[in-house]
Amino acid sequence: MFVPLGLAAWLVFAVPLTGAALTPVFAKVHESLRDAMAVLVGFVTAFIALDMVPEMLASPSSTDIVLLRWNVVAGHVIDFGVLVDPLSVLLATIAGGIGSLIVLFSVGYMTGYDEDGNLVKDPALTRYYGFMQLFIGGMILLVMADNLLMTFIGWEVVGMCSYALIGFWHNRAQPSPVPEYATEGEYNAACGMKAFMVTRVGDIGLLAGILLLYFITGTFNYTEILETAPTWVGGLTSLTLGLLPIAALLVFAGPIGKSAQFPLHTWLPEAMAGPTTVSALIHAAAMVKAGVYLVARLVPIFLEVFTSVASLMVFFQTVAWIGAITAFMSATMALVQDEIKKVLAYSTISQLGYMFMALGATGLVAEGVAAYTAGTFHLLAHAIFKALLFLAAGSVLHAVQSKSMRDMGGLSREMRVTAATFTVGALSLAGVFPFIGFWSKELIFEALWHGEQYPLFAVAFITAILTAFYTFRMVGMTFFGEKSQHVRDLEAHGHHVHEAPPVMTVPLVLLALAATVGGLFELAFFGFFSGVRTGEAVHFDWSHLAPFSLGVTTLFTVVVWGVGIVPAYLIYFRGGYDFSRLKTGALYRFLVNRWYINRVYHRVFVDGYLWLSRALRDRLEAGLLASGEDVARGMARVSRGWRRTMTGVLNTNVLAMMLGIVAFLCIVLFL
Amino acid sequence: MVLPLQLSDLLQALTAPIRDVLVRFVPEQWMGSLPALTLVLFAVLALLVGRHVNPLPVSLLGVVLSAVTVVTLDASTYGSSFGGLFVRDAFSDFFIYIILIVAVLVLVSSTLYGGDKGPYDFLLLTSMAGAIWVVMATDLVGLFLAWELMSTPTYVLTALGPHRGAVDGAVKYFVMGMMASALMLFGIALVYGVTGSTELATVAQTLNTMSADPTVAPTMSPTVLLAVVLFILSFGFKTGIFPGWMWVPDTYSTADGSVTAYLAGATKKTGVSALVRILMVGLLVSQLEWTLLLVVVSIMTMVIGNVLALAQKNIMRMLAYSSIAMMGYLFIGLAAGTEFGLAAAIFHAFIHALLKTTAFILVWAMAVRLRKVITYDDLVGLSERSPLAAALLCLAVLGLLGVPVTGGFWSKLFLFQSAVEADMWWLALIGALNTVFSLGYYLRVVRSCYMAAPTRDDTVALARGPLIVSVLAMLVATVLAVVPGLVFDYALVAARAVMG
Repeated sequence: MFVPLGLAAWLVFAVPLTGAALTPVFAKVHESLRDAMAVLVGFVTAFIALDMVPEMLASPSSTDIVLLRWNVVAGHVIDFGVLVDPLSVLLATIAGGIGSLIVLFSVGYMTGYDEDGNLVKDPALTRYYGFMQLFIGGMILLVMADNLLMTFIGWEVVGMCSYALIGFWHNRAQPSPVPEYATEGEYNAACGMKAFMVTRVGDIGLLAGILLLYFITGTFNYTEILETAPTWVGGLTSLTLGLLPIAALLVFAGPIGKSAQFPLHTWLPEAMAGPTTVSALIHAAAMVKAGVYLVARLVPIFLEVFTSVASLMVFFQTVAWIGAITAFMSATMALVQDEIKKVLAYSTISQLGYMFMALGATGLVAEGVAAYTAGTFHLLAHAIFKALLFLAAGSVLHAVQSKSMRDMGGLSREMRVTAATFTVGALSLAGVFPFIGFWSKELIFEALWHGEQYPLFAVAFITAILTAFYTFRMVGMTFFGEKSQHVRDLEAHGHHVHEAPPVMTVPLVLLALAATVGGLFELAFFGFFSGVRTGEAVHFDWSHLAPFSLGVTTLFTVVVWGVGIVPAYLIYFRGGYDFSRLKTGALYRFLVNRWYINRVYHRVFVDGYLWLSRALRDRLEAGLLASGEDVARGMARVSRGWRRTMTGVLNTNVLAMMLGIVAFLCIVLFL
Repeated sequence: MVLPLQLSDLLQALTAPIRDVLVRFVPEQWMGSLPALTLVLFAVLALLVGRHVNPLPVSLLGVVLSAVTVVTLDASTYGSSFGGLFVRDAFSDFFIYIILIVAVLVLVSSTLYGGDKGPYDFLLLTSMAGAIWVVMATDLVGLFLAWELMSTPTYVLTALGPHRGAVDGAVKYFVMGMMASALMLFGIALVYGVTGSTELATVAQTLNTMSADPTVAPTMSPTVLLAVVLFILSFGFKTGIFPGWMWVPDTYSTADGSVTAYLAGATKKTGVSALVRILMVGLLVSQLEWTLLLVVVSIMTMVIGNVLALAQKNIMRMLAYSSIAMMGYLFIGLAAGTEFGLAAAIFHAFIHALLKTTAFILVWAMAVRLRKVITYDDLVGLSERSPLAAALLCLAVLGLLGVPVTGGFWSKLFLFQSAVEADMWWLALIGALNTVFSLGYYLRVVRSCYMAAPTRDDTVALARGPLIVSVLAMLVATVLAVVPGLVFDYALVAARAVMG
């Protein structure tokens, strides 16, 4: 609108990346300048991203703009450019828009007061703001990139920033929440490491998949892969035909890691160790959305290829079922969490599962476009309400100085704005009419039901009930019911729980507004998405998608409210029921221990690895080292011995040359 | 190569006035040889000027003007000279650029030389003119003459080293050089005897018809093969390959370092160029046989260079052995015998010229500064005593190793790839294994510079000239790591000019 589209598509990630690089410079000038610039960069980014939206809404299209051409060697050219289409603009808007609100929120959140009531800033805030901007920039780079290689670069930037920010408080001296580590700082650092390592497992698959795809298609560029599909699909040999599904699955390994899907979901709950703003960024705007984005980006391509390569079915099946398993599993885990952020973390994993379910179903149902829309719309919805929930939770944490919901309760009287906005987010998450989550979840239900994917639908339905239950359990435990001992202790010490400052509540209100009315833009969303480029064979027809359609599945949604919310209300708002007996039950332990998956991983991959490496060191490496040393010593001896023959005596040299003639003649004449 | 070809167009347009002047005043028969003739002219000037002052500016001007004539005079129009005895084409131009680049590096670093600079520059420039003629020669007699013009000054130059050992090394070089010349003459005589011509194109044609004739073929083939062996030996002598490599470490380590840099950077490469022309143009009929020989040469040279480099303490000697090993890698590409292989080989020559010249110049600058033979112990703590020199030296060494910080990565990759494509994967494997060996001495340099605890902490202030040209050379080498196509695409054109 104000900025030309071609320029905006570059600026939108160049600005935060530059901001990140300049943060230390601003910090040298003054701390406040640094904070102000971070907020400014955030809002400029958000402005540029939002600026692209009207243009996209008016004329949905897909444009590939090449800026840099890397001419490696004759014929091998890699273009670096941006792809401006509704999907990339949507994600850039989410990352920039929500990211900017989070940065603004940080200004309030990352400060505290000491005993004398003086404002205390975290001393490492330069690092914080630098990485926050880099995080946003990397995420936008990832989504704007027009080729897999550049996406991968952004992907890794995001991964690195997540590591740095989750472990941000790496030198806190308070006791660690888990017994394995001495201090909280060590625990935080380990959590950052865990996020990095676990996602890295998927990244390796992604890189291998990208290279395989390049080997098969001859290009990294999304548009080119799609447009030249008839050519390269026609040229598939039996080898590449067999490799194609493998490549697709390997690429999906990246999203499994980044978006915390089973079996690589274990890092996300630990990622709560970082500041809450970071959690909000990871969950709502960046990082976990990257995986969904990549799948959404590739689904039209694979759909096109799917028409002639039937074996790609395995890709869609895998995506849908990984999503389904994850959604259900993490919803059950969320039921028993005591920490408010942990509940939110598991719910993120679960909601991401919904998105993958829908995106995977795109290839399974007749109305692929409906499933695709459902997945991407849920992505938008989740970004809004999850950012809201996290920031509101941050506000609560800030007030009560504790992570556990057992230390909260009855806060709605003191923190009216926070409680109200949090409830809006919760209603949205639970899928209550008319909040945005209702519409997106309804779309998913509809796509699965009408696509006759009944097993998937059943999982989605049960998960929705669980979601509604744990969401209102969380609301009840935090804001309603009796005040906890902890809160009363605080009050007894004169620390009255109070509402957060405006710098924190303004983002909350804005997000709550978006969550309330966002669903009404469903029609606009459909029109917006008609610009996503699809192939020749599989053409998405967005025009006949009916918005706001209520039908059979709405009944199911109503059932969800009844079965999910009502018990939660009775138990946690009203109180008076005692379920502590359940805490000794096997099911509780099973859920609290996260289905023992974490423990099994630890046994197999950590302990097993250590065992293996120790065994290898003692049995194999000692011998190899010895023989390796022998080889080295032998070579040195050969070298020294040979060197002794290098007398430098001229006669020998000439003789050697003459002998060379004879030897060469023998070779050419007799061999 | 999109950029440099356009760049050369641009330069040609810019220098068009110079071209017009040259076309008007220079005899047409001299045009192709102007780059060399310019150098000869300025060699004489340098000798005159050098009687009173340092002739470096004059010499550099000569090199620059020589480069201008290469750029402005299009090889396809003004390439031929002296009745077709010396002809410029894409292939020779590629090597002329190598020679001129090395010339600049060597001349600037020659400020380290303590003696009389006039004769020094005169000899260097004359030798360079000879080197240019060598890569242009299309006739065996012309080639021989150019070869002697190039070689003779270097015999004197190597003897100019600061220590008595230099004379020793020079004598070895001289005696073996003379022998190589004799063998070369003998080979030329054999070729003339069989074909009745010394002009390479005619030789190729005659041999082709003869080999098709069953009555002549059996009698001529042993003679031609003997000539092949003699050529590989005599040109390989200068290139420092098996079996004529033995003078290399002695002479390289005792001579003035700048001269060593010139020998390693430029004259070495002319041997490659001459061999390529003779084998791939003139004696193409016996490709089967010379391929076999080149494989043997390649393997032996790699092994000799790498194994013996391991035991060296003197860095100059280590670098000398390493440059022997590098020629072994280069011959992989020649043995592959494909256009791609040849392009990879001359690309490797280009990269090697940059890296090895830089390394020799830096080590020599240190040797002059510290007044001693540089060993690994002298490198200890260099990262603090002279950070820039340490960084450049390590970058050059890592580049030689093939780490993707310089174009050396690509050249090695292309060489191995060419071997694999020619169904000689085992040759590529041997090359790769040899690269592993080379870790043993290259990484020692890096370890000494950066990891060993420093024993002294006084700074080593190296002369500015050598440092500046080293920075420039490494800059180019690093850029080539990102866009190898800049030079490699041109190397492909050059290779096509010979093979096509």
